Amino acid sequence: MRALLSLLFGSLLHSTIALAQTAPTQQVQQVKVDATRDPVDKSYRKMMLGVERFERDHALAPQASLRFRLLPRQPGVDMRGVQLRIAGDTVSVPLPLAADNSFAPVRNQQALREDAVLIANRKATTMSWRAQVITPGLPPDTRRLGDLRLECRAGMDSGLISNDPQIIAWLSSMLYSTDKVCNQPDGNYLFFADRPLFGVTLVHGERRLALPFKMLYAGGEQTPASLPYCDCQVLLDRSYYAPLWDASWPDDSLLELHYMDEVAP
Amino acid sequence: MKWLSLLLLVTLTACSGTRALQASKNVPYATLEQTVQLGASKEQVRTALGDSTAIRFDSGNEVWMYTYPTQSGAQGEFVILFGEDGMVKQVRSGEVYQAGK
Repeated sequence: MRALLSLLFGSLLHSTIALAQTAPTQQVQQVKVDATRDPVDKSYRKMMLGVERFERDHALAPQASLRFRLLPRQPGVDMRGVQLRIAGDTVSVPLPLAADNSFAPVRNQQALREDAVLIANRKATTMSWRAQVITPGLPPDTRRLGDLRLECRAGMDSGLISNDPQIIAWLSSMLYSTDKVCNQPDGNYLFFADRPLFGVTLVHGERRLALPFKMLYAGGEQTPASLPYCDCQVLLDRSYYAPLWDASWPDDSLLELHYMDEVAP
Repeated sequence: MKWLSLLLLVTLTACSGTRALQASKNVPYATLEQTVQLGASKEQVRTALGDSTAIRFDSGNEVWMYTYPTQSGAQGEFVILFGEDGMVKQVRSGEVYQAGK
């Protein structure tokens, strides 16, 4: 539905509405980021709302910390050497990225006052963002359901899900609240594995069930026409939904990820 | 702005729901197990079982899914991964989580 919304709007307006960004007038700290026209940018205030949500709902994943991660959204985007900073009227704060292009959010009161943006040296719509909540010490190739529940809430409150034009973001906010997306079966919050997925098994104690086909690959609903409007565009084979809404599977449930490149037994 | 929003919402209502997957074909499990062997080609599987739900990825990999009736009365899923060479690379099957999706 969200992709359809974007597709519909995209057909009405071919040009993307870029968020206005005031050039810094006084630099507290200088950071060199390669100039990029129409760069990826996100609201810092919105991101901090996601941080507040994480802190409020931390009980879902008490051992985990919050990071945000940049993901490729368009074919051919080079994810090496991405540089990211918080940019306001007078403030500029670099955000160092880890090897997986994730970063820890930092609190900066001046950036909040100046309604700063997070700005990357990549063009808008070339990258997507996700909150990342990972409990340490999990078995390899597993995700914890409570972590995913918290990722959804922090990610939605952060407004990081897509690079939609403002009118789409406004319509989306009317149609998709965090509670609706993260607590209902038709919420459609996509998660991405690190490699192409062949299956996902939900495990808690003795209970084991594979996720159905329609919870993999963005539900199989993408067409060549709609795919460019999904932030799963180049990650379709890594995408899956998790049963965030299903209270019969507690937060400690694990999702075992099985990959396409595994050797058949 | 209001008329544009209204137009968008009306159109959305009319178009709600994106393209559904091709319906999966229901096949007895014994037939699936006998037909789908590692290394079998797409043509061999299609000829024996017919078309079913399928997704092709940019990588060249393709995933097909058939359903089968289980002993408990539920529906199982039989999922086949074809590699870039068009041959069966992996298979998995079993009862699945019943989602409200």
